[in-house]
Amino acid sequence: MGLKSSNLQRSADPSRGDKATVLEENSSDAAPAGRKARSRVIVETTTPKPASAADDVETLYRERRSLLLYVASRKFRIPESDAENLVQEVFLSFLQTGTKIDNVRAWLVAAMCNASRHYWRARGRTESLPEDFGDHADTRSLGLADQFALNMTIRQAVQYLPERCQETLRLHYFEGHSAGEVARVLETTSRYAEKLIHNCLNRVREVYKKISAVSP
Amino acid sequence: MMVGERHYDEETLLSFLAQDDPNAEHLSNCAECREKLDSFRLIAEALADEATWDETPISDTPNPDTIATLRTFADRMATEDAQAELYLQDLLDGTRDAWMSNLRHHPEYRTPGVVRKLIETIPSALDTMPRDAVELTALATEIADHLDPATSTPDTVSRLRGAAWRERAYALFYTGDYAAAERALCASESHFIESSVNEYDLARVGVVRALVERGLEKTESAISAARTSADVFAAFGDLSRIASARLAEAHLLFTLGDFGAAAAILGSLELQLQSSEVVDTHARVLGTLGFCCWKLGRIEEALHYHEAAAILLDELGVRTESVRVRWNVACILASEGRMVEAQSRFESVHAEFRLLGMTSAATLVTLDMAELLLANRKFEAVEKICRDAMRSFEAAGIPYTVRALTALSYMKEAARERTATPSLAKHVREYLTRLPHEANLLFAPPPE
Repeated sequence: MGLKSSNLQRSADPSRGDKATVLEENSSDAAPAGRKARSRVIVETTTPKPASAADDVETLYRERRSLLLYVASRKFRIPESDAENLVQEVFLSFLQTGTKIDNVRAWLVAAMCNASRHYWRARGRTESLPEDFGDHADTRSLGLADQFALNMTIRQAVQYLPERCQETLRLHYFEGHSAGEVARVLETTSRYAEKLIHNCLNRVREVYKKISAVSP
Repeated sequence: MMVGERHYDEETLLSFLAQDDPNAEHLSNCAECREKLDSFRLIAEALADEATWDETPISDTPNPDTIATLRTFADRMATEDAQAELYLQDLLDGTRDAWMSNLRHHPEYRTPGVVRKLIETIPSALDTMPRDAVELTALATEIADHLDPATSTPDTVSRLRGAAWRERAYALFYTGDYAAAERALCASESHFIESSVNEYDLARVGVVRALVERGLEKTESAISAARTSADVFAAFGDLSRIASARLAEAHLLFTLGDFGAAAAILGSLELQLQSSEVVDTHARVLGTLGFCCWKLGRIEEALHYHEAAAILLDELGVRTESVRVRWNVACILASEGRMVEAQSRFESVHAEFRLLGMTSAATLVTLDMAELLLANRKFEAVEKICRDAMRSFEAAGIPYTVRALTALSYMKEAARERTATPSLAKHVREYLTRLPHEANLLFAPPPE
């Protein structure tokens, strides 16, 4: 088998039995439960016979696409049509690494950041770069994949909250308003606004926990 | 407020959010409360991120064109690799002098699959026949450099060229041709720079660069290359390679005599490795950290790290290596004048090597013991050590037995005449250490 297969096969630690188990490890991507459920079915139905390299890469793509797309389009503000091309580039690169990858998700996320930086560098002369565009790998990135996955899940969790709660959290945490300022916008007392901020944060944490529990 | 005098309630925890380091006694002792506060903190950070409030939908449907491209590419690689397995048997037929000629007569061997397969064979060739490995990299670069980029995806050929030249650089470094290795590194980098996803590959080149530049005494530049690579590997979550890069940096610091800085790097790396599954790397780091502590005069730590490395190697079933590490422990004890402990350790290591059938290593251990004994003028014991060692060599019948016997016989006679010294034992040991690699090396007594 070739480089790619060595990559994917090495991930398929014999002690774990099959590829499905491996693809599920470290996974907390915040894709909607429906899509995740679909992915799981695909994984489980392919378990009995050894998957080909093509099957492996397709499964991996389905598992990780949302997170990678999120990184490109949200972190690096790359248009989605171009971001999809970058996702493809990253997977093609992954297939050709020719070495054991310790942490597939972290590798893919870091490679996506790399591809995104390259994208903007190539356009650097004609377009203004995003403010947080970095020239090199993010050195605090041992948990970068986790951070993006968390942000993606929180984005999803917020959408489950009542509108008033969303507004409260946005005003306080994103726009940086104090409890008193939030109270003025919401036409309530500071004490109540403070309580609302705490309650809403607690609620988003609860929803986050539920989403994480159903994600593989 | 504490809930049931046990944990903080959520409101109290949330009130801690605004404080960088809340001064709460319970918090420092309660993992559960700390974890909960951390999760609130992470969520609050995510809520401050612009992306969280961006309502533009992200497509959730996998792109069929991407899937088709990836599947086609994976299948194509698998086909190329299977074909390359067959080609490789013919390409590498005969001695290495014939390989390039075989390639010239068979243009069909010039495929990406053959380059990948050649690269796969290089590590084992380096272990067994480094010159073969260099020739394998010559074949890989020759093929890769002449592949037509138009026949594959945009970056495939530049990646293959970069990888082939990186392997060549390492093989040349391994065989001591540092100048050629440095040129190969430049070639590798220039190819990888052409591809759009290249940070990881360039970091791998960076580790080889650190090794090569160490050989060229460009220490500062080598340290910089190792550090940059380690940072990139951290971004890619590759702990094994972080360890390789950090070890390279530590060895460079050794050459500068900066054991303190090296110990700091290795100590931090060791902490990271404690919860990892890369046990062999962890053992290597522990051993190096032990050496570093020894150089810093932190003897108890040095002994501790060596012992820990030996335990991990035992767990991995690499008994020969764990005994070698324990041998280091005995040497450290001897160097510190802890003769009784050292003697007992040497005896135990000697017995282990005998059990493993490692005659040469076992003899070298007895010569360490002889050095200690001669310091105490115990000539009869040394005579016996020499006799036993000679019997072992005779029984083993290894190619350099005769030369080993000459050296041991010389030392036995010196012990019998009460003229043997610790430095003679050291001299004989150094000779026997070189013999397996230089079988024709003649024994010469040490200068008076």
